[in-house]
Amino acid sequence: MIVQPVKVSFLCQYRMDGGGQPPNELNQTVSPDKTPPLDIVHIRDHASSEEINSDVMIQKDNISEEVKQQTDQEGEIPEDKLCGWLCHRSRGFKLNRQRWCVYGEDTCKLYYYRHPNDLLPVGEINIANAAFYFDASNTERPGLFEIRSEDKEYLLDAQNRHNMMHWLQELQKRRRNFNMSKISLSKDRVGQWTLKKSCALSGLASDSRRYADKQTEMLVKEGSRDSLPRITLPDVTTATANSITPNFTKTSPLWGLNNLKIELQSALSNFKDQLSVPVGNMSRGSSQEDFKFYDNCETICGAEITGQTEIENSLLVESSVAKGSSSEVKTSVEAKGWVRNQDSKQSGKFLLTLKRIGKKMSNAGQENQRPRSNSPTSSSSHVSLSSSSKDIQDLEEELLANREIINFLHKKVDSLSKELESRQVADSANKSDLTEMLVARDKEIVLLNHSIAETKQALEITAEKLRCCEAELQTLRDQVAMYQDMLLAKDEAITKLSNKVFDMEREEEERGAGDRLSRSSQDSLGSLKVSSPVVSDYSYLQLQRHVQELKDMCQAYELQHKFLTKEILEVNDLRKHDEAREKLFLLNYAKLEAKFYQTQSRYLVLLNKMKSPSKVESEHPEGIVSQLLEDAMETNTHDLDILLASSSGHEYDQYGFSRIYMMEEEEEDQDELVTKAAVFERQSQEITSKVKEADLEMSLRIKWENYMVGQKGRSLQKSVELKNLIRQGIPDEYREQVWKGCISYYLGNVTVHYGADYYSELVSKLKSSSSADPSAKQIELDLLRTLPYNKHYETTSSEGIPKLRRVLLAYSIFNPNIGYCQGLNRLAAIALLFLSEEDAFWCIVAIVERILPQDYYSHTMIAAQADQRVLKDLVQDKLPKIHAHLELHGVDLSLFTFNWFLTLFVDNVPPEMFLRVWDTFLFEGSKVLFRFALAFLKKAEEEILRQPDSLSLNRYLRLIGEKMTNVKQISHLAFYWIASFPMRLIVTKRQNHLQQLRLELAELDKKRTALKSSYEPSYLTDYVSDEDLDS
Amino acid sequence: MAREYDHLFKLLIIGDSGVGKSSLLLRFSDNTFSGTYITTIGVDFKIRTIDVNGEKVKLQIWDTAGQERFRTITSTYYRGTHGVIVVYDVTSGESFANVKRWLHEIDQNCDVVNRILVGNKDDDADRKVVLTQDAHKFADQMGIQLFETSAKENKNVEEMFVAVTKLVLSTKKEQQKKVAEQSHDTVRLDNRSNRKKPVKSKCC
Repeated sequence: MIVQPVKVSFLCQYRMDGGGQPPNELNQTVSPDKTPPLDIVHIRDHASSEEINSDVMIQKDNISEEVKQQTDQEGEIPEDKLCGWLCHRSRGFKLNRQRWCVYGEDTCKLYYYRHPNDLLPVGEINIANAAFYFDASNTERPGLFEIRSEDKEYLLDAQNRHNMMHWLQELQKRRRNFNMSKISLSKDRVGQWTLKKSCALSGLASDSRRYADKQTEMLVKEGSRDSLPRITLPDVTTATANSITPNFTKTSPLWGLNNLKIELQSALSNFKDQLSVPVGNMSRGSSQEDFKFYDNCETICGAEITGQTEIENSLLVESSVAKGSSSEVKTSVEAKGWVRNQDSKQSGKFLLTLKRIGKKMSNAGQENQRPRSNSPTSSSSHVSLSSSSKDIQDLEEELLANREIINFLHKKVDSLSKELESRQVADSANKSDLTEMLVARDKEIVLLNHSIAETKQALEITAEKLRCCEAELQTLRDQVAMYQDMLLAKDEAITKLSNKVFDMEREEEERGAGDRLSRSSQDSLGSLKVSSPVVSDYSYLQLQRHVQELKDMCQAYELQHKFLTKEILEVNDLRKHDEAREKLFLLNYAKLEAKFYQTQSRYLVLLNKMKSPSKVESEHPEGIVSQLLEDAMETNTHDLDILLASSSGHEYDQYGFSRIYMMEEEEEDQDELVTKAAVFERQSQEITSKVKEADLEMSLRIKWENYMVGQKGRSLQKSVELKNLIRQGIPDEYREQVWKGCISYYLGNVTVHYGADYYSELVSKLKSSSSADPSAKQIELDLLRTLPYNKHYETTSSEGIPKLRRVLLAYSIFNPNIGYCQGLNRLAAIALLFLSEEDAFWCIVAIVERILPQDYYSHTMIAAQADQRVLKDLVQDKLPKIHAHLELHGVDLSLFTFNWFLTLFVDNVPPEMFLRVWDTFLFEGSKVLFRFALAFLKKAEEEILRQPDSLSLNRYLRLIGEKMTNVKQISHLAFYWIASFPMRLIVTKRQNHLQQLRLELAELDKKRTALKSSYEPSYLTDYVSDEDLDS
Repeated sequence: MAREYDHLFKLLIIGDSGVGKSSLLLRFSDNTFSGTYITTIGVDFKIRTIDVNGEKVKLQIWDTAGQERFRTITSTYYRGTHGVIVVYDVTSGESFANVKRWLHEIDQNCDVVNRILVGNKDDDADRKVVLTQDAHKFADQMGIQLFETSAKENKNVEEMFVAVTKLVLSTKKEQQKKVAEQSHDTVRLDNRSNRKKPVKSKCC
């Protein structure tokens, strides 16, 4: 199985040794295919650098599953994504469910899914307020840990302690980061409930957020600087490996092989130490020694296996080489030169491997020698082993010599053939010489052939010898194995004996002390010892194991203690942090309260003055009023700004729209003060409604989070759930993603068809194209007039202007039939608020060419006109009262609605409202425009019917959009009041009206041409219009 | 309460894109000026009541989109219009050359209506390219009054709107007189050939 190497970045971030070592395993590619040979190779690679980390393999065992999953579905894991399989356990029941857990960066929640491909999670755990715990004494499930969050306890099992620690520490880290980033909340506007996303959004509207984010980042950095150091796990693996779990080593041979080198070394040094320990102390060290023996045996076994496979491998190579060379000899002389090189290379490699084997063998021999110094047999076996390896080396040398002979012969042949060539030229004159020469050559050739045959024979002999050696080696190996077994048995015997010695010593001591000791204690001890020596032996071993278990437990508790201490410190830190935040909030609150009282007192003073206007002349009530007015105007810019708003003050909303400008005066003579008052009134309404619907908003936000977490990296699929979700509005931070999804849904593989660089190519074409193009002229004229009340498009130096220019020009080239139509500038400007330049371009393409019917923005704009008539029909159908009222006063609705449709409501309704229209429009299509148009009229129905004449009707309808502030209510009207709304109906209506309009247009054209010849004054020829240029 | 106004007239502003139609209207209705007024897509209107010879005249002034392709839909805007203000930009010869096309538009959509020609942006002599005499010559030939204005400097704006209002008002008065004289007659609207005469009736 070939699997693309995957960086297991997060898995390896966590290191048990706490650092100091080069991160060599960071680049370790983990292949899910874990067959032993692979691991051996892996060890050899690392053996030279002596940097084997035991954790790699252990983690691999559990994680490779995860990695496999990841590779299957994505191919690449994002750097910092925390995810993996965890077993979700319930306390009461014996239900254990394997869950795919994903940490949501933006929400600080751990979502768990049935399967990594699931869209919606089964559940979620809030990490922000969670505390973590694990029970050290639970040896049955060492990977079990608890997350306590929001009065609930979640039991999760990470299979082993290392994974668990990894999870816990990552979660701790993320919890800290998240909570630290929350500090920026206090700086945000009160009405802004949304958590700021730290990811980069490409739209212009995200800019204001970026600033805040930067501040947050800095704060987080500051916060994390004093964060607590990571706990490092004590070297549990090696400890356990050396002490209590020889079993463990046995059950996982992989692991044992992996640690071969380390074990070898440790075992050797341990053994040395033990040898130096006086025999009197044997009793104390015996337990250790005992296990060292185990290890040694294990190690030797391991070495043996390695050696064996290597030898086998090399023998294979060797035989093939031998075969190869013998066959090569037969081939033509010319080919030989090349083969020779090949041969020598191969044999070189072969030699190397053989040497390595030799070394290994001798190493093994040395290692064997020491523990086996007690038994003479082992040393002899070693000698024979080394001699056999020497034999192999000798054979090798012989082979090399043979090769050299062949080489030499080759050279000779070469030189002779050269000679032949030169002579051929010279002998063209002398033919008799030539024949003589030929005879001589023939002889020579025969001789050469003979020698080749000889060499062949020699080679065969060598191969035979080699085979013999092989056989010998095999027998020797068997011998070694036998000796090893013997050694093992002897070791056991020694252990038993030494235990006995120890016991006897103890018994003697006890006997000596027995007089002083009470009888009962002696009994208790005696009961273990007095019985037969075999039984005492056994119980001693048990005791020892028990001690080891306790030791291990101790270590586990230590770890737990460390972790919990850190946890306490962390939680404490978070609490402090929250306190600081609370203080800040309280401070702000106090300031606002003060402001409120001040305003109220002024208001009362003013009221008092109003009540008794002419009482005291000297006080100059007008002066007071003007003073108050001045104050009122001033407060807007100072204190409140600091308190309420950071970067996106109340002057501009989060999309960069100026609030004052959005409030177009409804009455003719309205001064600044009244406008301002209206702005405040609206803001207060907004905040109140947001406070009121905070819960609802939160639940919607959670739904979106869930959806987006599941959605990551997938293309948009149309579903009823998503439709309903979008109808409730896309949160700002997800708008870019969802819009992009919708755009690519509509465009399909069009973007692929044009190529990835299509937009940049278009833009580069722009530079060469002339600005005399009428579209370009009109675009230039409209740039600053697109959204002058949005800060991103205010002046020529605003960041949005050049982008807008490029997008519109690019589109005018992309579709020369449409070129540029006023209205497209609004679309592009809004798209640019949320999307990158290129995406905005494709957004325009999708809207104009896919979502809206043809000819909406073309030269006749006939489809846009047709839609006005369709709307009129629909109004007649759904809102007959309004229709009748408008007809009565001769008011043409299309005067107003034409603009609604052409700018997708951007010109008419508040940003929140038209963004909802856009969200649904991009997802559901052009039908939505009718829905909202009808909803607006429905919402204003009573007001419309109240207007007495055409003038007031016109005035009302002109500003009808501004009253559409209750986005929720209006979307409800749009989607649920008009329940069924078949697209078929609209399509047929559209077609009918289009036909009608085409006829009318043709008539108009006729009229136009008939009139054309009337004015042609001669002095106007200096002033050329573009129409003249065209024709 | 007494009547809010004595007369209610509908005026229409047309002309090339970017000549300052909206600015003129904004100057007149709100007495404000902004270099970058939002592009009018479709149509928009403002209302202002002025006093002409002691009579209160309420003006409903419709401002239209200038881009060429919007002309196909402007026909609806002409309905019930009393006067049309044709605007060009004195710094753009092209916009002046297009005036005749706008006059075509009027002819096409209305039979008879009061018209006035306005050269806007007349505030920078260096940039002016449409000479006053050329404009006057043309206006005279068409039988239209010419005003050179600047919405930016509030030059001639009020005067221009008052002039067009007076024009419309006198037309109405004349018409009323005629109606009074021949009360048994109905007003005939279908004399298409009689365009150039200053006329009495409303637009279509």
